[in-house]
Amino acid sequence: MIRCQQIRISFGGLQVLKGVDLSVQEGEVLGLMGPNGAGKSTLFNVLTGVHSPDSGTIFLKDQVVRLRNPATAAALGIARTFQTPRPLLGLSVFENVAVATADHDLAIRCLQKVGLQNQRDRDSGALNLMDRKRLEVARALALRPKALLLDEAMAGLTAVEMEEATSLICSLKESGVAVVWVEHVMGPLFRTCDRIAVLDQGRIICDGTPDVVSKNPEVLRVYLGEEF
Amino acid sequence: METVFNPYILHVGIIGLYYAILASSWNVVAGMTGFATYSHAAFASLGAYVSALITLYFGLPILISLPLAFFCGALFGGLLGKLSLRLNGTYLALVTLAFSELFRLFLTNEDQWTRGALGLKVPLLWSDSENGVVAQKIAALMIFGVVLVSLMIFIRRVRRSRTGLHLRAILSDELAAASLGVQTEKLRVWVFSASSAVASLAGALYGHYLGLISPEMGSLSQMFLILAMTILGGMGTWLGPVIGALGLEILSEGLRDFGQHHVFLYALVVLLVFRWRPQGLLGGRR
Repeated sequence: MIRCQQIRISFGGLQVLKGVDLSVQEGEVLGLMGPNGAGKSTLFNVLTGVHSPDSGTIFLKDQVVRLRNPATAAALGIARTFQTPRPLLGLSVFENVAVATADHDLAIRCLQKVGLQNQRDRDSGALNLMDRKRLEVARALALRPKALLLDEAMAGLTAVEMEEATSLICSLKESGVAVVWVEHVMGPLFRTCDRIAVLDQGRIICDGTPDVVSKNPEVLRVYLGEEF
Repeated sequence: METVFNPYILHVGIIGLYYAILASSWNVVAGMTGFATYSHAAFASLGAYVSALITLYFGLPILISLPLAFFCGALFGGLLGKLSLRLNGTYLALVTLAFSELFRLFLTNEDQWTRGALGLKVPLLWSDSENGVVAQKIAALMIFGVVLVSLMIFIRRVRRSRTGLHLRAILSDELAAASLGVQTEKLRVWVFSASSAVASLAGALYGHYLGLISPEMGSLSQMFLILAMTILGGMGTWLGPVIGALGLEILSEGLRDFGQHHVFLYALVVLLVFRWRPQGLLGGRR
């Protein structure tokens, strides 16, 4: 569904991504993990048109796409959530979703999917963290995405909220969306993902099933720790 | 009725409407979309000079020079928006301030065309002999009024449209809006262009009403006056900038009797309003 090939990007003298290859299929959840500064957020920003790579190619449904800006990425069906939720303050919950789609019924269905239909008229700034994350998913779904990029969906959530979020991600998978999920909370990631890719210093050092990744010596050394 | 049709009262009304048009159009770019530009007075000046030079040097009628001033404002406003696509906050402010000052200096120095700081005598909307002073001023008041009312209707329609929702999204968070498919770059250029076009039209009308324009029309003091009017009335609100502009213009004239203390009192009143209503008189109402 979405695939990137040999993505390289530098900021000044610092090469952040050094030839990243990654792919995720329809209905697949790909976990992306790695230490801070590994380049995960930068890769997200490249895949969503925030940054243009110095070199490399992005494919969507086997077609080469040029993501000039985030709006282009969204129009092509690449949606994202943010590490720290960014509700559009001053807009109601419904209006936040309506920004992404002119289809009123679709907006309502997206709110129902994440369980926010009863709060549709609330100011988005009044939502708690979990509801803000739900709202981000609802907004992303309103774009009818082919690929959905989730940035640290579990950060700051309680154990119960993490279970709810995990169920939501599983339901996204069932709807056929290709999901790329950056996460530092290992439990839900290893339980939910079909594959996990590990990024370290701008390179993918391992890409495989959760079982394979959890036993990879390099992954254990640079990120998970020997006691994992 | 004599008080209402007093030429001085009518003049204050016309100038108030001129500033209301400028404040409302600046509010579209700064208050409704969040791009604080400081070149709005310069665009009024651009419109005034374009229209004046076209009528003076090409002999075209004002009815043709006014739309041309409008389109020049749209063109240069759009260009400025395009050139500053990646700038926000302080950097955008600095670029637009620089544009404003450069344009003022250009007008001052190109005195073979513009007569520089001496000012340029501009053809009036109608010749002096046509009607009485009062009738001319009433007509001018109506022209400025029609422009303002048209602008307000247009702004209200935009605010209630899908474009208005997208502008509110940009105001809240440009990156989040873009990630939801909002064409932030196109909208930005459009907003810069539309807002500058209206300022240029207002400036052109102002020039042809007064009959004399100078580079000071686009000075920073004029820009900050527009800014104060908008913020005082309520930035981002529909009616606030109009209330702010008319209120400050009337206040300014009302305090003239205090002679040299007039500027001090004017500043004092403005500061007191900001102290008690920092969100502006109509702030909080959309």
